[in-house]
Amino acid sequence: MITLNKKILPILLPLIIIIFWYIFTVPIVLVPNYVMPSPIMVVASAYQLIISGKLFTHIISTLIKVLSGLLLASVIAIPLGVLLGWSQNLEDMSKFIVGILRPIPPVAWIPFSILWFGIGLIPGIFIIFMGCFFPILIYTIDGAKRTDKVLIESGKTLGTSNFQTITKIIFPSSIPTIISGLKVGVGIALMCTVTAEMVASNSGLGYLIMNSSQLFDTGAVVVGMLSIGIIGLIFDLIFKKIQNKIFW
Amino acid sequence: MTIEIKSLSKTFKTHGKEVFALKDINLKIENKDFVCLLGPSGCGKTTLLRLIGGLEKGDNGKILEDEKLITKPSKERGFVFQQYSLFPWLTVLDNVTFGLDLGNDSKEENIRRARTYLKSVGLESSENLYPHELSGGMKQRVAIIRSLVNKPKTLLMDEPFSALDIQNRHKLQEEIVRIWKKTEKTIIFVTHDVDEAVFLADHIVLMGRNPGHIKEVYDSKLSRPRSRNSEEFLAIQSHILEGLES
Ligand SMILES: Nc1ncnc2c1ncn2[C@@H]1O[C@H](COP(=O)(O)OP(=O)(O)O)[C@@H](O)[C@H]1O
Ligand SMILES: [Mg+2]
Repeated sequence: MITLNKKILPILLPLIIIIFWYIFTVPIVLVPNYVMPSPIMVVASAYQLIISGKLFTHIISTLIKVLSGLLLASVIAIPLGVLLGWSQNLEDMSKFIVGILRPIPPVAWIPFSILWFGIGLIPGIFIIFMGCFFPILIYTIDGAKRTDKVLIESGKTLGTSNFQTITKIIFPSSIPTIISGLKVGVGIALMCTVTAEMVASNSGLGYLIMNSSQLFDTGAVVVGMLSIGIIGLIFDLIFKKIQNKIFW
Repeated sequence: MTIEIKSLSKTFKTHGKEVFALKDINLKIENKDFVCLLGPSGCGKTTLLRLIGGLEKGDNGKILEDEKLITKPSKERGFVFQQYSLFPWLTVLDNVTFGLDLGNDSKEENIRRARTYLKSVGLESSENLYPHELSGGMKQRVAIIRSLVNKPKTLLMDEPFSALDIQNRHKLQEEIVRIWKKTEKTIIFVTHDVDEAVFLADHIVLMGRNPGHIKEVYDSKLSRPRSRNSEEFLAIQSHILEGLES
């Protein structure tokens, strides 16, 4: 049995897929190229999009929306979640609203986002906000609620006020769960961005995909799709790094 | 700090059932006393200590601290829990300064004070470690000085050494006696271990269960330092054992 180098293992499968993909699109043309572009067409499209600077512009546009939507959602959902996780009364009070708003798919907000904010960056950010607000909120509430009671009581016997209990004990104790919530949030944010860009935008990777498909440039469609995948992968790696740093 | 408990009772409601945890407790603890609450598990020791700490509210009766009603936790009454209770995201040093940092003194001053306490229990070289890097004995030492550095008048301890091996337990018992003598605190120490109670306390409160009540308060005249092999020690130990079994 040949032992494989651990570093080669993850790229083995993509390599095989690309080889088969090449075989069935270039020497043996199974389906027309506008239905299934060949790897060569994808590389050509990628080259075009890169040297024209278009790919960069679309990636930046998508990233700006994802990050600002995520940031906005975090700034509101994290403090709110810590507060709701701390006080059973506040949580009971908000149960219905959260319960009803949460199941609404973010894309259902598209009509209102266009009506309220028109076309451009803002409606996209709004949809991302709606999409990742609830997962971050729910995770934060959960983390806050699971704060070890003995830590809260230790704090009280050391002199913490209610406010200090929240900021100095419940919040730090919830950080690992909050990070998990952010990780879920990023995934949803990417999904929302691309969907929003397909309908109500004139930039971003979602727009690139939609626009290229209308021009039958399926190579560019694949470039757009792969870019989204790579961004997601990078975010995942970043969160894994952060999670490894957190030990409580 | 004198603590006076007057006809105190406490019931817990769980799943619709009522558990009578403490019934009609009367007890007076004088300033600078070293008191052990001793009894089998389930006799309400933890509940009584938590009531004194203000972490729990009684149904009837009252607890007075220098004539003032105890209604909530305070840094005047330090509490060392049976479970490990250090903040896992803070280093040893930051754990110890936690209470001080809530006040208005400068961070440098708080660190300086924390270091003298860390040194007193031989942990000066561990100040940058995190709780998960400490042994059980070290964790409880840090928990003790995290309370002490706040200069509480009373220190409440709930079986703080029960998870430690016997060598460590004996070492920490000696340390707590040393701390008690030096800082002149009132210490109320919960244990189910007769040996520990006889070694530590001047007043041993014997408790029984169903419902939790006080059987006897034994005033030990045993001189210090105490030796576990001395005749007096063993005599008191067997007296206490009899009292618990009756
Ligand atoms: N939070 C609680 N809820 C319900 N019952 C409790 C609670 N705390 C203690 N009890 C009950 O009160 C009694 C005394 O418990 P405790 O004070 O923990 O005893 P000890 O510390 O002496 O072992 C036990 O029967 C226990 O089950
Ligand atoms: Mg107990």
